[in-house]
Amino acid sequence: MIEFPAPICDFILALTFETRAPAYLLVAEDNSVVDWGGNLDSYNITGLQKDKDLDQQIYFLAGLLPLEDNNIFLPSVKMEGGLYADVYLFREAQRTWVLLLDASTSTIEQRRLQQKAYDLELER
Amino acid sequence: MIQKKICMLGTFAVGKTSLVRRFVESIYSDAYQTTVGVKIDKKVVKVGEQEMMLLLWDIQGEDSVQDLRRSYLRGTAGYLLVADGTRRDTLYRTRAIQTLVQETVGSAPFLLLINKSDLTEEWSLEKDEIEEIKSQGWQVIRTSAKTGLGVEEAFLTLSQKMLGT
Repeated sequence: MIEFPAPICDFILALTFETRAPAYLLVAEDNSVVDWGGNLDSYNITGLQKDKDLDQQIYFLAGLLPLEDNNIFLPSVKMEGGLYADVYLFREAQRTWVLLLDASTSTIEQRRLQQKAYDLELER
Repeated sequence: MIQKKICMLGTFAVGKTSLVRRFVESIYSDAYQTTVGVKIDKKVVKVGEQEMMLLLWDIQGEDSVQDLRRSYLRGTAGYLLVADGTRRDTLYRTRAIQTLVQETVGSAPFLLLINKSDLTEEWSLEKDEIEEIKSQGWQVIRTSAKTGLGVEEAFLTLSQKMLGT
């Protein structure tokens, strides 16, 4: 892996926290939610209960776990509160981390461009 | 309660989002709003005595089948392939999409919805083409998100297939 100077790493980290509202969940092998944190409120994820099944608490993650070998990336998932999230799922030991990053700005821009392109194609 | 994930698949502007909105909220709008990424809705249905929560993944329609993001398909219990009756090419793209889905998630129940039944005078599909698809074992339902024709039937038929009833 390329090594970066500490100030660059610090800047990237600060930028991510400032602009992308990171939030996380930790899911045990039996699919129960064991920990969470970050800006979950931004994604309308509230009222989580420890050791309760993930699928019963966060419906958009239902059926995705357990992961096999590969990590999963779900780009631009529209949340109930209206934000778009990039959702990453990756394993660590026997547990799975779920990371959410706000992708609203890029998704809305992509949508604007895509709308124009498809409108033009439909007019042909 | 049992939860089942259903993916809405098809090329752009065939009416996937409108079908979900009609089914979940009984709403229709003529304005085309493209979907980016995925929007997930839920609705509880009753199949016989069994209540089931459907998780409806309305996935961005791609111009090219190869661009369909396979990670969205993970955990799919069933899927609806959607074509636009007024655009013949959208029907043929459903075949390529079905092949890709089968490679990714294996054998899962699905239906082909030919949408925009309210515009049959503008349809570019011939009856023979639909019959040919049916003869290959595909179940086809004509739908209209605008009028609601076939929409409830489509989701309930797929629900029954997912439960094996």
